[in-house]
Amino acid sequence: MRKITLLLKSFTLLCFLLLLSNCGINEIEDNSTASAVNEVKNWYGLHKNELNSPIFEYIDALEWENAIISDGADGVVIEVPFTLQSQLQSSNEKASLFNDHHRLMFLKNDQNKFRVFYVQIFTDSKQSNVDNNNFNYYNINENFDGKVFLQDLSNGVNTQLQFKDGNKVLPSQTAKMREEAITCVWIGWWKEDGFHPIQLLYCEGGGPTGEEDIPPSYGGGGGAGSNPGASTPVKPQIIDNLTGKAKCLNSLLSSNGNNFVQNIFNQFAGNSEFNIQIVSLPNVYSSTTQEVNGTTSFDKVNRLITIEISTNRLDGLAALESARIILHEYIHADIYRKLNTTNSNDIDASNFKQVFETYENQHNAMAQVYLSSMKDALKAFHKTVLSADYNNYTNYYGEEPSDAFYEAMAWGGLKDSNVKAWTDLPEDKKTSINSLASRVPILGKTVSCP
Amino acid sequence: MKKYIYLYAAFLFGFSLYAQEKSNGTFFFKLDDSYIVESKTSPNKFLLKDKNEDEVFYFKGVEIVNDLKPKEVLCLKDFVRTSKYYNKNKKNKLNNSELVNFFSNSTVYLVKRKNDKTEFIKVNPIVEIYD
Repeated sequence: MRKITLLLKSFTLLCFLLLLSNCGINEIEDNSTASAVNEVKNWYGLHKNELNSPIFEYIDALEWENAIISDGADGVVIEVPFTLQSQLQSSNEKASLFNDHHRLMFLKNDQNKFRVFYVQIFTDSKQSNVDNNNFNYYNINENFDGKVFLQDLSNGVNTQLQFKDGNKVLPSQTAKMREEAITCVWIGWWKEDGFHPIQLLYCEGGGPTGEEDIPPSYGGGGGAGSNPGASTPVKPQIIDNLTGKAKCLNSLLSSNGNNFVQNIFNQFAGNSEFNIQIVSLPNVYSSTTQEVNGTTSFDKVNRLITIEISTNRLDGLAALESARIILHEYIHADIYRKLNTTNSNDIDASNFKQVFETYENQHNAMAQVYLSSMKDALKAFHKTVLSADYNNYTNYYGEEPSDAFYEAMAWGGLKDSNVKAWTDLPEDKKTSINSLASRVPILGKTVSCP
Repeated sequence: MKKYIYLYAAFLFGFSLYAQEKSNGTFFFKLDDSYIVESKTSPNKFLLKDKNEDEVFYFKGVEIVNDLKPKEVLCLKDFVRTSKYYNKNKKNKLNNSELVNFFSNSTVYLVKRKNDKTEFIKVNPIVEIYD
């Protein structure tokens, strides 16, 4: 009997010790977790201003107390959930992304600094949900059907990952399918009749770009080797959310445009007073619901100029005409910049402001001030960048395109609004311009990007 | 020490006066589709019936608030047409850039009655040009 009592006492003591030992481990884990979160929180407090994304305008509060910590091949990863201010949510224009979850994700690099990503998780169906705690960088819910978007906040690289039954789905390798898979994510409101977008966050591109700074692969970790859906990095001042032909032409204008074009792009580089967001939309409409090639809008409160380019229109137009449309919209952006700059040392802008009233409106100002530069820019771009098309024109008409031809192109988008500069032209000049402009549609529609 | 506290308080007061000077105040305008209407092609874009030929002024919704108590809800048509930013004798009647300047320094809500509830849509002024 004494033996049994002794055995029971020993067992009770062992259980007690085990219990104590378990408590000890939990305490250590809790301390280590709290310390990791605090380290990130302190770092974030010091470096927040270096991170760039429209989402920062809409974050309600970071839920540090609910931080999700996971560990694996890429080290400790800390994800801090947050919600958006005043009932705002996010989705795409088709309203096919549901149940948005937002997180800031911190990955420590070798230099003891953090790479920060904006992570958005969406489900494919309204009814599904994401189990927050078990859904992290190294682990995806078993039945998860949806998308995860990663935006590297240090360089603007965007990555889209798609999951089916918790497994990553590789993107299509054909260009056409990749174009169709492009998703733009917006901030907006869900109402009874669907999603109402108000602010574009970013658009996703197709396949790998070959850029060196490849983002990590969310969902099961696996390091930086695979990069199924990254788009080109963007300069923070010109937020490039274009797709397809427009993206290609914008990139060629930015890198190969003549001095006039470079000068316009440079106005929005560095510590510019204004930022430009240029975006492709399937269709773009005027206030009278008429379909148009593009629009440029100015938001003085946010010091943001937004250019919208119609994919539908550009797909049916010659490449050079499409470049003309993009350049035309950038000139509107430059006019808004000149009219609204507070930099009194900008002599060019000051002079422009003084005479702008005499032009009555932007299109007339463009015709009076910019037409000649546009003509030269289109000519240089055709000859040096779209050289095959330039040669085709020469072979077809038996002559090189004349300056008058490029001037006729530059009148596009101006003469139709019957600006004074156009109505003041002699009739024979107008006839000649219209005749040369009729040659534009025979130019090549396609453009190849390296 | 007291001297520094007074200096600091004076600085804060001065700064607050400056901030008030900059702001044109808060305006509540009725949204009833008679003068200002939501675009059919772009949600949260609230267009005025007065518009210029190739450039349009509009308000963009940025936030919905439910629990405000405005002292007065104004008619935007009256407000615009009696302002210095409207000239009925000109082809382009609205002075878009000055309207944007004015409303950029104001807080503007559009007030909408919906299912017996009042919705306040906070908006920013925008100008946009086509083609």
